[in-house]
Amino acid sequence: MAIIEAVDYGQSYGKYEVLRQLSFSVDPGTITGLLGASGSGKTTLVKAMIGMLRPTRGEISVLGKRMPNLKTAPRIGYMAQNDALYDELSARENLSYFGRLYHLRGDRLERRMDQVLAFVGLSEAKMPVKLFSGGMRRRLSLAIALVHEPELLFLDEPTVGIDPVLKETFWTEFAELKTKGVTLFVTTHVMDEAMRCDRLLMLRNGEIVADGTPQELIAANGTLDAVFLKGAK
Amino acid sequence: MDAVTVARRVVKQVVKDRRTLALLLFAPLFILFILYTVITSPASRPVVGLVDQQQAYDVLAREAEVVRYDSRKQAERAMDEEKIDAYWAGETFVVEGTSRSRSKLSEAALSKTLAVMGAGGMRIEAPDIEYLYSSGDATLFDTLAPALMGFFIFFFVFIIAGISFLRERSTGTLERTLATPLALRDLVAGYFIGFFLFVSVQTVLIQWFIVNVLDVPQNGDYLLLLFVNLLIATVALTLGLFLSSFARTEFQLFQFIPALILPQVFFSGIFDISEAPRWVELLSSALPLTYAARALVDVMIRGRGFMDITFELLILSGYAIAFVILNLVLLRKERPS
Repeated sequence: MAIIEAVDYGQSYGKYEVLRQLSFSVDPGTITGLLGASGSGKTTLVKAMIGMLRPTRGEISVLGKRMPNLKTAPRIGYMAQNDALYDELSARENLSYFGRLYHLRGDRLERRMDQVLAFVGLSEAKMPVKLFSGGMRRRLSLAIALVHEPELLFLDEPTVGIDPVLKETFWTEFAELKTKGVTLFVTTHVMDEAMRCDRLLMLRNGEIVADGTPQELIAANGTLDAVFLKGAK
Repeated sequence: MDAVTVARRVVKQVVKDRRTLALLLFAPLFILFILYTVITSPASRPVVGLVDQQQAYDVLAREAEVVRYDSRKQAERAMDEEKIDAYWAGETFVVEGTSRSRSKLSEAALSKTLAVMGAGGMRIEAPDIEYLYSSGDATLFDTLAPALMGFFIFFFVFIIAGISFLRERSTGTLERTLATPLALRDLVAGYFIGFFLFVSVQTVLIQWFIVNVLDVPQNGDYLLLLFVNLLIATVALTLGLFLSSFARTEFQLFQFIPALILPQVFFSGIFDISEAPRWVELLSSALPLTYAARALVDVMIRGRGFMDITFELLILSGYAIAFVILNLVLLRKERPS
């Protein structure tokens, strides 16, 4: 059974139609990449899938629930495009806040904080977040998305603005999460990242113009860059 | 020239931000018009009760609205009900004293009356002037202090609450928080409780400074005064959270100050608007600070108790509840589930 299913889904802001007639499904335990140029509607689609937008047309089901549905929130992790951190607080204080909002308490919260901080390599970072580098902020942002052990993870351009080494670390971590059964939905416009996905959806002007495995898309278009450029036109 | 390039960009940017443009052009005119209307409203004649100096009636009636009373008790009751500014009973002329301007008008009416009667050969003993509340030597600040205290609490709490919530929006932490299972009512309540702790300290500090350091006379219950101030802070807190939804930047939040906050000062008792046009009266009765100032004057100067200011407290509570509900409605738009 699909973990995400969109049927004839459309989204408008007033008279501006951002997404139109999207139909796709995502299998559990996979990494799906959403490709598209800036402004193609990637973030809007992610927001609809995490329940922050009510579809203006059609429907989106996530974890078997028609969205928006607050009951899905404890099972979903979300890493936004901006870091969305409290600068005055430390990494642990940020994590504790969001962990508590996901109803983690006591030993379980402490254990999860230790685990995710180690996972993103921030166990030793005790200073306020405002002193963090860009890469550290992205890592903490990922840790917050993981703190409650979600089964479905939405990552909106998770590697924007970080160095190649950290990018590699992130993708190793994503692959590790996948082996644990977590489903990942990642937006990106970086081609080498797209190659690491099990499946790619290409958005252009609010519509899906390509859908398949990276290998299928390369076979049909020559290179992934060609798919992207075709999509960007 | 590089300066021209910068100037062109500034002009373009301001022209495209209609709210800023409107504020720049019309807000000063709006504030000036309100000030003009309030200040140029004709000074109303004081209302003076006359108990037994009936020979003074005709002369006094030239200077004031005169109401006759059969006994001193009747006049006292009328003053308690805020129907008269002063009354003349025998050898005393009692001035209510909560409004400095109306007190001075009443005193002026008396001295003119005495002068005219004296010139006309009528023998009359000048009465002793007594103040029911405050005293004749109360400074302008003493009489304005209750309204100013309410305004400053309201203003600073509004700014702090508004900017904090705005930052939650602009940094994306609000969106991330809304992506958790947190109920919206818990978000609003949590914000409220968290800020209320600091707002309470700020309120206590302002009240302590005005009453204990600046030595402004305080005739009422200190704790009741604190309760009123905390209720004012509550209204400002909920209003700040609400209005922050309509601003994308701190600059836009500040734009609400001349439009929505400043006019409240003019109508909150600092100026006498009893003779101002009807629209001023209507506008004044729609603004929370009007009720705040009334309650503060009642407690601080008149020394009244909880039951006497129930109406004002209910109105202020109503504003706070309404702003909380509006906050929830707006947040539901941001997270529809």
